[in-house]
Formats: sequence, C-alpha cells, structure tokens
Amino acid sequence: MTMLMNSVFDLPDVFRQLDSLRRGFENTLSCGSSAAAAFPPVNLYVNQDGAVITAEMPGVDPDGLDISAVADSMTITGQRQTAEEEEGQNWHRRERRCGRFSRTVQLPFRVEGDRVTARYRDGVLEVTAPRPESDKPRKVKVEA
Amino acid sequence: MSNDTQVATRREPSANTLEHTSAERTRERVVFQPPSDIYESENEYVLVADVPGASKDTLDIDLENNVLTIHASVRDHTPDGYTPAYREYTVGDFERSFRLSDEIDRDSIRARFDQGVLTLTLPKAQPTRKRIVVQAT
Repeated sequence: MTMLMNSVFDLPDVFRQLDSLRRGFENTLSCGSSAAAAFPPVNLYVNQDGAVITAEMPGVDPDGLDISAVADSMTITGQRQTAEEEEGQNWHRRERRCGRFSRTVQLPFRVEGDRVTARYRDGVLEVTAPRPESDKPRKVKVEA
Repeated sequence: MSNDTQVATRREPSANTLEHTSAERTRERVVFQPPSDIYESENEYVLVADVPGASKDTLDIDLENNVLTIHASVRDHTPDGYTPAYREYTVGDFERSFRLSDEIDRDSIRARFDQGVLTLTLPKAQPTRKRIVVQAT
C-alpha cells in the first residue's frame, strides 16, 4: 500500500519531468517547421560585368547584416528577430524561421570586394558584385 | 482557429481547396503559401506571415464568412540584363486562408506590414452577456 501511495505521489513529478522534456524539444524546434531548407534562399544571376545575388529574408534588420566577398565567394550573415516569448502565450503555428543565419555562395568568378553594393527592400536583399576590369572577358579581333 | 488548406512550405505552390478562390487567375503565376506564426494571448490572436517582395499596396486582406484570406502580389525582382546561374527560390505571389473562430472582434482587426512581414492582430471579442430575467406570472 505504501508503495502504491508513493507512486501516486510521485506522479506529478513524472509529469513535471515530461513537461520539461517537452519544453526542451519545443525550444530547439521553436523556429519554424521549414527548418530543413537553407535560410535565406538565394538566387544568383550573372553577366560579363559581374554577379547579382538576391535573397528572401523578410523581417531582417539591414543594419545587422554582414556581407563580405573574398575572391570568388560571398558570405551573408545576419539575424532574424526572435519572436517575443511572453507568459501566457499559446502557440498555434510556428513556421517562420528565426535566429542567426549565415550563407556562403560560390561565384563563378572573382569579384571586387570593395565595390560590392547591397540593397534591402520589402524583405528582399540584392547584392551586386562587379568583376575586376582585368578579369572581364575580352573580344579578340582576328586580323586578316 | 484552423487552416483550411494543408500546411505547405514556402517552396510548394499553394493547393487551393477553398471554393470561392478556386477560379483561375488571368496571370500565369506561381502562388505560394507564406510560412506563418500564429499565437494567442489573453486578449488577442496574432498572425505573422512572411511575404518577401510584397509591398503595402499589393497586399489584400479579405474576411469573408469567417475565412481570412491573405493575398500578396510580389514584384519580380530579377535583375535586368543578367542570366540566372543558380536558383533556390522562385518569385511568385502569396496566398493563404485561415478559418477564424467566432470569438474574434472582426471590426478591430489590425494589419501592419514591415520589411516583407505581415502582422495581423485579431482581438478577441468580449463575450456579450445578456441577463435574462425570468418573469413570474
């Protein structure tokens, strides 16, 4: 009987442990169910003068973005605002990604890191990276 | 509050099962379901949806028969004079519908759009309590 009583009294503790376990899971998975895909998604466009990279990253503070180009690779690092957790908030859906992100894109050619420009508008980042003059393709005239 | 269509990620074109939106579009364009957060606090529901590339003027928020529909036209931001070399996303419009519960104060829904993120605040309706007096005969 005492054994039974004990296990009955232990029950709330088991629930507490289960609850903290659940919370632990929720914290690691708290930022969106589409977590499998790389964030932010990027597109790369090229022409003979250089490359343009666009990335969909809504809700990012542009001042906190770090964009750097070294030789033929471009790295974009930033942070997405984490949703405010408040007491008494009940989550129904959590699909949006949040937290820190970093993407490195391999470019088909070297770019001039000093001349890289970036623009952020309506949640879309556009980075323009020109090629060095000396690397640009040159037309060769065939002499008769 | 529940979602009418199946949960799809950003990359999957939206499967529209709603009758009133099943008409075909005149423009041939891919439509995506925006990833959304929904949370409930004591006084309101908050819906946050990612609609990158949309703007305030192209956003359409519609409430019809308890179905809240968000539609966002997205401008094509493909740079002029460049050839695509690598692609991780397609530019398309966004659309998604949610069925609201009755307890929403439908007249005080607020919408905010900032940097490609749409935030809708849906205040809960105050329960209307009416006291019925039983008259003695």
